[in-house]
Amino acid sequence: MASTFAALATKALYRLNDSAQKCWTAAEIAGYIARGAQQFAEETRCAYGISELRLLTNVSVYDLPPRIMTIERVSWDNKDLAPLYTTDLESSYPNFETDTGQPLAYVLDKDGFRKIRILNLPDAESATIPIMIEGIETGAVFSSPTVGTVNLSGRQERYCIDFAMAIALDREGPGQDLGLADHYKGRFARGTGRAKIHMTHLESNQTRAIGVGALGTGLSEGYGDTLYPRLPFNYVVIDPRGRRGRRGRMS
Amino acid sequence: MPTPLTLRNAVSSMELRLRASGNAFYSRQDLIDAFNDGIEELAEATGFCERFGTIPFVSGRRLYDMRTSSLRQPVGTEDDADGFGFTVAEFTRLLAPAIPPARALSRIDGDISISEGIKALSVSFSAAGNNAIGLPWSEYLYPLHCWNPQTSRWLIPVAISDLQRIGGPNWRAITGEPYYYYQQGQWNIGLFPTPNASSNHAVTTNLVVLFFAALPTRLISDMEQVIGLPDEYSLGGEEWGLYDLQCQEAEYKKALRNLGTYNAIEAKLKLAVSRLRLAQSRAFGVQQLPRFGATFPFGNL
Repeated sequence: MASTFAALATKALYRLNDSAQKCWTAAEIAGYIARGAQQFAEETRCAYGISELRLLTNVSVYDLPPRIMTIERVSWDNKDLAPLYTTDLESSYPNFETDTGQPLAYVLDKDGFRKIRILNLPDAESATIPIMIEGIETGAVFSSPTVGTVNLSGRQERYCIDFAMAIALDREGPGQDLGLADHYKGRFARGTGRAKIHMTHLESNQTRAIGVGALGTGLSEGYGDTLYPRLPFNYVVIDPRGRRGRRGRMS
Repeated sequence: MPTPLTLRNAVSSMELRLRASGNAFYSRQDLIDAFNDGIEELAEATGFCERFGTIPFVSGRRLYDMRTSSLRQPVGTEDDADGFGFTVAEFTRLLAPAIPPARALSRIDGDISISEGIKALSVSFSAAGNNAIGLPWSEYLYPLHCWNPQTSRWLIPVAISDLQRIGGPNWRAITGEPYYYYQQGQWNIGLFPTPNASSNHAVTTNLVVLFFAALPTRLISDMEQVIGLPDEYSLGGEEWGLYDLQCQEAEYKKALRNLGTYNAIEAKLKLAVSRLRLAQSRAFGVQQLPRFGATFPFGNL
């Protein structure tokens, strides 16, 4: 279960030895924690989620779900919607703002920041099925310490506490300690770096490297050849004139 | 014979070292938390703690979120009482003397029974395992291997771009028995083709087995030891704990000395784990040797 901002602020204050909130308030620390979570998710792109967008009949412009940071896929009824640019639509499909029907595409560059326009305008039947927006999510949507949770795992919450402590110790006033602040910043950076490695871990994991072999190798795809020698009769030669033969170069 | 590093021993040692440096500032719980944090730090940095669990198929579901109850514990494992499945190291150690790896893994979809001295082991990845207690998601770190007992194959890890090439632009709509898995974000494991109840090859009672790097259980009681971690590496937890506590007290220079020792232990463990992984992967790889005339599972797509 993800922790609330307030719970993490309490932990950070305890570690700052200021549970009495003489130097820093819980609300201030909770804000720093949210900033840490946002920065962590932005740098590592570790939070992937699917949000639902409920359609309304004959309404084409909607606010993007607050957690979505980068869109990877928009679908309706399990069909991909095509991402389009307004300039292209204006020249090739002038009625795109008024035509109704099933959703086929979406536009992000027409109606302002964090607005999505759905084409066609959903009719009454289409509006019963929601749009699904998949993408990289932010680490926190913060309004107050008691509302919402950090959108990261338990271990990663620890790095948000480090971030909050770094900002708190860096701040002018009682409790300031620049050396320690730098150190906690370093810890946050260490955690971010590690999460980035974990994000790419699947690409390089051992099953692929040794047991299965890489994709993109034609017929051997999925059946790695790492433990068998490649003998001359296995060689496939690519002839510059387009013919296949056995002349030296391995595929 | 050296004393095993139990939680009590570790905490006593930390207390002693802090007091020796003129510091009796922390409660016992602070010390326990700091030690546990250190072990988690080690696990995250090195991936020494490997576990496996099952992911039961949900018809039509493409992505399985490890933060929810997607990941289950197989039944019949020896330390069920602790709420955990086997670690991979325990699993391979127990199987290795009795059955050659290729044969052992080829039988993973059924029950495996071997005796190793007085120890009898039975592991079952049957669908009954779906009723076992789900692992806490916060312990999941990243995937290592994925096994499909229905097809007796390791799933092939791929990137999304690979899938677009393999399955075409509508790869998400393809259903059937999964042959590939991919990661979206840190917690979502995707299966391709998507298991679907209407497909002949995938029914909702089927599952895949995911081997993953995890955080070890936090120690609570005095006599507990970190599972699967030799004592010389568990000392890393102690060093990290001291470093962290001294940071909290702004004893910066002392803290850095402990951090230096911790870093050395971490580097050593990382090396040891990578060597172990290589050995395991070779064992797993035997199952995947190419066969003459083998056809690409989705060659016609």
